[in-house]
Amino acid sequence: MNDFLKRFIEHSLFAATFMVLLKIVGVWVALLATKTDFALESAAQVFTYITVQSTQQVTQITTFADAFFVVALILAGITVLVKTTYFNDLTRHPRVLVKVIHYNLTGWLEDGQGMYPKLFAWGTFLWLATVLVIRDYMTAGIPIALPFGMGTFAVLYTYQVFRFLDTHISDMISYLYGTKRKIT
Amino acid sequence: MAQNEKSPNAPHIFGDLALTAVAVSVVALTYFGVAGLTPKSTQQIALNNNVLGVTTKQKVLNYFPATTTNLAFVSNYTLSGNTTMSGDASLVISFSPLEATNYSFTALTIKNTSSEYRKVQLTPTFSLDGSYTSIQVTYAGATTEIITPQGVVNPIDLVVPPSSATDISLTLQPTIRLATPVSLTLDFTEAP
Repeated sequence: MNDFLKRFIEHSLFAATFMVLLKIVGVWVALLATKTDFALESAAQVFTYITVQSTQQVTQITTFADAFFVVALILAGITVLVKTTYFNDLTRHPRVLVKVIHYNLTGWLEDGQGMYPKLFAWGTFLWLATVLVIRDYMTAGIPIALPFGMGTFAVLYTYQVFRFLDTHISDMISYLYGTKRKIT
Repeated sequence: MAQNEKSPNAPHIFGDLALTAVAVSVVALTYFGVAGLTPKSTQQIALNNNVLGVTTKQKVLNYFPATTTNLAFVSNYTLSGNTTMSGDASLVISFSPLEATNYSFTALTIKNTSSEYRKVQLTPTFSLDGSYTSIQVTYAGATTEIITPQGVVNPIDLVVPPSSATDISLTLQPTIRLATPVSLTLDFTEAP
C-alpha cells in the first residue's frame, strides 16, 4: 500500500503542477488577448489575486482561461488513458504491438507498477478540475458548456478506468498487497 | 507465485495514514491554488446563479431598524424578512392614536454592500381605508408622498447607491385625530 500511495503522490504532484500552470497560462493569454488592464491585490498580506475592473471582464477572462484549461486537461486525460489502458493491453492486441514497434513507440509503454496510481491520480484531479470549473460557472458566469464538457469527460474517464480495472482486477489486488506477479 | 506480503503493524499503518494525508493536502492545495487564479472584480460581485435548482444569490441589500424606535406614538415596530435570501424586507409600524399633527421619524436604514446600484420598490399599505393621513417618505434628500389623505397608494422606487447606507424617514400628517390605532406596512422588494 505504501508503494501505491507514494506513486499516487508522485503522479498527483505532477497533475497538480500541470493544472496550476495551465490556469496561469490560460489567464495570462486571456489578459493579453483581451488587452485588459489588471492589478494584483493582496488580502490579509498573504494571498495575492488578480483583479480587473468589471464583472464582464471577469467573465470574459475566466471563460477564455477555463476553455484553455478544460481542453488541455481533456487532452492530458486522453493521453493518460491511451498510454495506460490501451498500450497495456498489447497482449490482447498483437496488431497494436506490431505498430508500436514499427513506429518506435516503445517509450510509450507504461510500467505495470505505475499505471494504477497514475490512473487514480489523474481521475482525482479531473474530478477536482470539474469542481473548479463549476465553481467558476457559479461565481464568474462562464458558459455552462465548460463545466458540462469537463464533467462529461470526467465521467467517461472514470468509466474507462473501471472497465480497465474490471479486466485486471487480480493484477491490481496483487500489486496493492505487495505480492509479486509471475510474468509469463 | 512468490509471496512477499508484509503483515501490517503500527508504523506501517501510520505511514499509510501520513501518506494519505499528504495526498489529500496536495488535492486541497491544488483546489485553492487554481481557484485563487480566477480574476476578481475590484469590488464585491453580486451574481445570481442557479445550478440544478440551487440558487446562489448573494444578498447585498440589508435593512436595519432605526436606532430610535422608542417613540411615544409608535406602539409596535417589526422589521422582518431581512435575513432571507431574496433580499426583501417588510416593516410594520403600529401607531397609538394619532393627533392631527405632524409626526416625523427615521423608519429604517438600507445598506447596499455590492458595487452596483440596486433598485428597491417600496409598496406601502395603511390599515385605514381612506387613510385621512398624508404619509411621506424622505430618501436621499427627496420627499415623496406615498399615501394621500384620500387613501391613494403610490409605490415608489428607491435607487440605492453602491457601498452605501441610506436612511428612510417617514412623515405622517393626519388630517383628523385618529382615535383607533392604525398601522403602516412598508414592503421592500428588490427590483431585478
